[in-house]
Formats: sequence, structure tokens, C-alpha cells
Amino acid sequence: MADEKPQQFSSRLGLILTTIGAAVGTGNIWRFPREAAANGGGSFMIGWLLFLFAWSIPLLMAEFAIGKKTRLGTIGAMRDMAGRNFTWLGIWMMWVGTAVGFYYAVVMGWTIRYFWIALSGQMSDASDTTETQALWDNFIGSPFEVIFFQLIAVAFSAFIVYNGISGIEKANMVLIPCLVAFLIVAMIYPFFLNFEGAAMGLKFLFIPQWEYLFKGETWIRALTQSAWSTSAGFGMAITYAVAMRKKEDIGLNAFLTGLGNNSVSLIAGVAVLGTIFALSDSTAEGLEAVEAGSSGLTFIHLTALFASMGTAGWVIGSIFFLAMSFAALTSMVSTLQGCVVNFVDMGWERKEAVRYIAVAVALAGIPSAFSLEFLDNQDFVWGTGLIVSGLMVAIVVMKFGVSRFRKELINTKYADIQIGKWWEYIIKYVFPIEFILVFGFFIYEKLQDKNDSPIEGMGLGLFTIITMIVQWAMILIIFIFVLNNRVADATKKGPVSDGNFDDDVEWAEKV
Amino acid sequence: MQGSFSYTVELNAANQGGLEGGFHADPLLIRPTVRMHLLTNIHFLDESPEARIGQMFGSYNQIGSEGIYSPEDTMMPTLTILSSKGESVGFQSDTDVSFEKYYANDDFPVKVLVENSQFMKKDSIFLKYRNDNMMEGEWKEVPMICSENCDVKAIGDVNSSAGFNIQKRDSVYKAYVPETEESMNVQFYAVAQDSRLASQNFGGYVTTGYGASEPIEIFVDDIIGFGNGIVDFFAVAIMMGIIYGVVWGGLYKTVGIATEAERRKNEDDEVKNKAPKKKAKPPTKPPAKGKIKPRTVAAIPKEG
Repeated sequence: MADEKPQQFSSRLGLILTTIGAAVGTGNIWRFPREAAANGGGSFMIGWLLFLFAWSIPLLMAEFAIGKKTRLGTIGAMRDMAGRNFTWLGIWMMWVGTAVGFYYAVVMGWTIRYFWIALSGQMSDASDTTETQALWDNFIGSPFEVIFFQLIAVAFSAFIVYNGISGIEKANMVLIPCLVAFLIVAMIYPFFLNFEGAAMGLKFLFIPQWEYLFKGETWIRALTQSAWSTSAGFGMAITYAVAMRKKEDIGLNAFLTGLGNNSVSLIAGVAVLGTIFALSDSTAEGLEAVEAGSSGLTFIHLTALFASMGTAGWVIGSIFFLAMSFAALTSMVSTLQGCVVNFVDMGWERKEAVRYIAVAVALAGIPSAFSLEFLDNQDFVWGTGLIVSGLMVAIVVMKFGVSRFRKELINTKYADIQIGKWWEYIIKYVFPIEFILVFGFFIYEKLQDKNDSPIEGMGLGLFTIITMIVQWAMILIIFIFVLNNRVADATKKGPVSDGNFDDDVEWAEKV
Repeated sequence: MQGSFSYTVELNAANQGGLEGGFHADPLLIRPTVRMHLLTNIHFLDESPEARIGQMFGSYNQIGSEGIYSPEDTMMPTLTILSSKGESVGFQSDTDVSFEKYYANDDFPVKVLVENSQFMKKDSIFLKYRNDNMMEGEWKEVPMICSENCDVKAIGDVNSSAGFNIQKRDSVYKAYVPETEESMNVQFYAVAQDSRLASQNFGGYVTTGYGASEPIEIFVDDIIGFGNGIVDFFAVAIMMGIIYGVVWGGLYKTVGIATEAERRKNEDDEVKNKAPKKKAKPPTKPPAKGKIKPRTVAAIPKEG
């Protein structure tokens, strides 16, 4: 059993950039612009902005508070907050985050590969989407090449985590400003190339299409984008809050993380849509790119557009894919760290844990590297599982007592801003409604899938509800009935494991 | 003009010395020539589908047998509009291919497949279009530019119909229908000339559709926005102001609060970390003169 000295962030800036890094991922760059343009532009943005304050930031506050108070990873945190019998909640959160990491390393490998394709000039050889499609098909059809870049992705991430919180902090202090700088360049550049086209991208992003404002789907998509983008409720903030300084604030840091993440999304949105419409021959061609799905948009259409730009495309393409790689790296680091912290809590030596977990993540990602369908399936199953993790955080807060949680765990004497009762209303009333709507719509959408009849939608296809529930059930049965008690006992005690949450309470009561 | 018309032409099928030595010894080359004469005299037929499907026979002996009825067998250029995915777009109820979505602010591209383009007169292909804002019957035209398989020396296929082998080339031409600026219906078709039938700029016309030009009609959507550049500009500016104001303004504000809070906490820490050094207390008041006792040193007797 290792008994290591607790690690801490050296500064607030380090903590914020690290949590923003965890939140900002490829989804900010390839998903957000696509979702916004396809769901009514400004109408989508209104919902997206609303749910930042009605879902993401309140959940981030809860996570920061739980992590800071318990000083344990998700497993120990859930055990100490909800009781020993609910340790499985923390195991689920750790597992879902790690399972996402299995295939996310493959996705990060794609971005590294395409960065190299752009930098080496191979991209310039492709003249249209047929050729970039062939380039993509060739790459995806070479599993060993995909695995090679997946291993590079895991190795980079593991190296950063291997150096502990200080390593993660230093990496994010460099990567996030670079990412933002690259995206700003990518945002401005299309306006010099074709101002009118780039302005068209702005129209698609910002002008509300009013009919979308009255569609339920617009709001649901805005909510899921906000949830996935900020990683609220996924256990990431718990993981990093473990290393918070004692005097660190909760509420303001949650605002900084959520607003920082959305700021990056806005830059990426203008960059991607501006580039697409600036370089497309027609609006229809631009829209075709937007509607081509995440990988289609990035690796086929944007690649073709960069290729058509000559030297300028070489520059902007390289910058774009480097930014993508950085965004993926910072998220991949948080995924690994989320798992490592839990194993360290169970007595593993940290560096040893990093080594074993990195190897496990690399091996478990190989099926996704071999099969795009398997990757999509895992994204479907565990990506949806992340939303359930958010529900678990909210349930733990409710079990603890929402009012007590706000007074004792958020509004501590170190709080820079006081969080009002609005937070309680959101967690108690708004959040459950939002969750039911999102999940209900998600199931409805699967059953209505025009490619599958309702019966197939409930069958055992790759993307059916049953497939998802079967995988969840298998994992949950193991967690609840096999691992719960063992892991609860194996995880070290934290500062509140004795049930005493009174630290800072006296001061809070005065306020 | 209504009604049917039948015309039989007997060709000399005897050996005239081959392609170099004879005059149109090859029936595949003769047929269009015959048609030219037909069309020169009865040129109004060129406007009807039937004109291009003249009934022709390989030789005198074949009169009464199966003839050559279609433009395909005469190897006249055949024009077909393509969707952006390269599928052939038929006409009216003859197609399931839906045309791409186009927007009023775009010059939208139209592609035309020209089969047997080796017999198409150079620079003779035009895209004709009209929209709801134009006068009844008015059509504008734009020249079409070859975009695929444009090398005249690249003959990639062989037509062996009617027992003759003629090398052929199929090309794709492209042109843009100018933007309409507002949402409306747009009709278009393509027209070209057969190089063997064309006389200067007249005759030998081939069009998309079955003989007669049957234009495709598509609906162009209004582009996102309010259809007015200035209004759109203000709409974008207002929305950007709101979204960026909340997100970036909020970030700016929270960073300000955090910086101030951090500075305050650091100052507190510095104050606490400055451990007070113990200083010798100064005497409350200086000793009065005369009260200072003179120091005395005891004499140490010398050892004797």
C-alpha cells in the first residue's frame, strides 16, 4: 500500500485551465458547430446558453464541492457522500469515464494522424471529397495504422498523468492557451479568404430560425450539447477537485469552467462554419458538409476544403488538426486521471497505476480501432451513460440534502461568491425534469429511427435501446453485487469518511 | 405542326474505298448526313422528338427489316442532367432522383452528362434557364464548360451498334444558374449541337429530355436570414452581442472576481506568513543621570 503525499494545484489558474481542458474536447470543435447549424442557428444557441446555467454549471458546482470535501476519487466520494451501499455509483462513474477513454484514444489518434497528413502535405494531394473520402477509408481500413496512432495518443496522455497533478497542470497551462490561439487563427483566417462566405457561416450560427425555437428537438439537442461539452456530472470535476487547495472556491470556479468551455465552443463554431462556407462553392455544398456527421465533417469535408486552398490550406489545416489533437489530449488526460485517482485511493502506487491503466486503456481500445461500428456502439452506450452519471451526482446531492449541501459544501468560508437558493431549485426540480425529457426524447428518437422499425429499435442491433441497457445491466450487476463492498472497503478513508462534515459549517451558519 | 411523317432513304452500301477513299462509306457516318438533308428540308422536325429518331436502315437489302430508330444508334450526342451525386436525373415522373437543395443566394451548379461527346460541336453546349421573375417564354443561357473527361484524344469506349465499331467519349459539362436572390422556381435544360448536323450555328440540336427540351423545374429555398443584407447584419450583430455578452462577458466578470479574490487571499496569506520577529523592547524611559552605577572592577592581587 502506498501512502503518498496529497497533490495540489499550485494555482487557481492551473485548476481552471485543467478543468476547462477536461471539458473542452473534440466535441466543442466538430459537434457544436454542426449541431448549431443543423438545429436553427440562433434558436439552438438560446437553448444552449440557457442550459449552461440550468444544467451544466449547477452540476459542476456539485461535483467540485463533493471532490473538495471528500478528497477522494469518484468511488470514495460516492461512498462518503451517499453511504457504503452506494459505492457502486462511484464505480459506475469511473467505469463510464474510462470506457469512453477506450475509444476516445482512437479518436485522438485520428486527429494526430490528420495533423501529420496536413503537415506533411499529403492533404494537398486530395482535390475533392471523393479523394478525401478515399484517404479516410484507406486510413480507417488499415487497423494497424489506426492502432499505432491510438497508442501514441495513450502514450502522450499517460506521460502527462504520470507526472501527477503538477504535470497535468503544466501541460494544460500550455495546451489550452495554444488551443485557443490556434482556434482564433482558424476563426479569423476564413474572413480573409472569402468574407462573404465566412459571413454566411456567422448567419448559420447566430440568426435564429424561429420555427426551430418551437421544436422540442432543438431544446433537447441544446441540452445534450451543453451537458456533453462541459462534462458536467461526468466525475471529471470531482477528480480534479480532489487536488484543490483548501481555500479554493466552488461556485465561481464552476462558473469559470462552464463559461470557459462555452467560450472555446463559440470560437470553434465561428472557425468551423466560417471555414466551411468560405471554402464551399455553394450554400448547399456547405450544408452538405455540416450534415455529414462529426468525422465526415472533419476528416472528409474540411480536409477537402483545406486541400483546395493550397499553401493556405496547408497552414490552416495543420493548425486546425493540431488544435483538435490538443483538445482531445486534454480530455484524454482527465479520463486517465479519473481512473488513476481511484486506484491510488485503493492503495496503488500512482506511477504504477498510470502504467497499468494506460496499458489497459490501450488494449481495450483496440476493438474500436479495428471496427468503426464497434466504436460507434461504445460511443452510443457509454456516451449516453455519462448523462446517467450526471443523474447520479444529483441523486447524491439530494440524498445529502440539497439545502445543506449548498450551505455547507458550496458556500464555505472560502467562497468568493455566494450561491443563492436558485441552485437548490435547479437541482431539486429543474434537473429531474430535464433528465426525464432528455432521456425520454432519446428513447423516443431511437424508436422512431427511420432506418430501424420500432421493433428493430428494441432489438439487439448496434444502436438499439436494448443493446445499451444490456451492457449497462451487465456492468451494474457486477458493480452492485460483486464489487460494491470490496471496493468500498479497499478505498482509503477520507477527511469526511467518519461522517463529520462540520468543517467550515460554523462559518456557513453565520452567513 | 401535328401529324406523322415517314421517309425512307436508300444508301449506297457498296465499298467506296474505305473511310479515306470513299464518301461516307461507313453507314454510321452516313446516317447523320442523311438526317442533315432531311432536316435541312424539313427542319421544323428538328424541334420534335421524332426528328432525331428517324428510321434508318443499314443497306437497301435491309429495308423492311429492323431499322435504326434511336439517337443512341446514330451516336448523336445525348444530354442528361446529373444530380450532384452523379445520378442521372430523368424527367417528370420518370425519375426518383431528387435534385439537391439549392438556395436563392447561390449560383447553383448544373452538371450535364454528354454521351458521344466526340460528335458534339465544340462550344455548342449551353444551359438555358428561366425563373418566375422572367417574362413568359423568356430563356437566358450560359455556356457550359467541360469538367470531366475533356481530353478530345481520350476515347474510352467503343460503340459497336449495328455491327460497326466507333470509338466514343462521354464527358460531363458544368454551368451555374445565377442566384435568384429570392426564393422561387427555376427551370433549366441544356442544349448542344451535333457537329455533323450543325450548319454554322444552326441545326443538329440535341437537348436534355426526350427530343424536345423538357426543362427540369426546381425550387430554390430562401437562405437563412431575412433576405436583406442590412437586416441580416443587425440580426447577427444583436445575437452575437447577446451570446458573446453572456459567455465572454460572464467569463470576463468571473475572471475579474477570481483575480481579486485570489489577490485578497494571497495578501492574507502573506500577512500570516510574515512571522513577527522578536525585537528587544526599548526602555520605557532613559535612566536618570547619576543613577548609573559606575562599573567597578575588583583589583586582582598580584601573585607574589
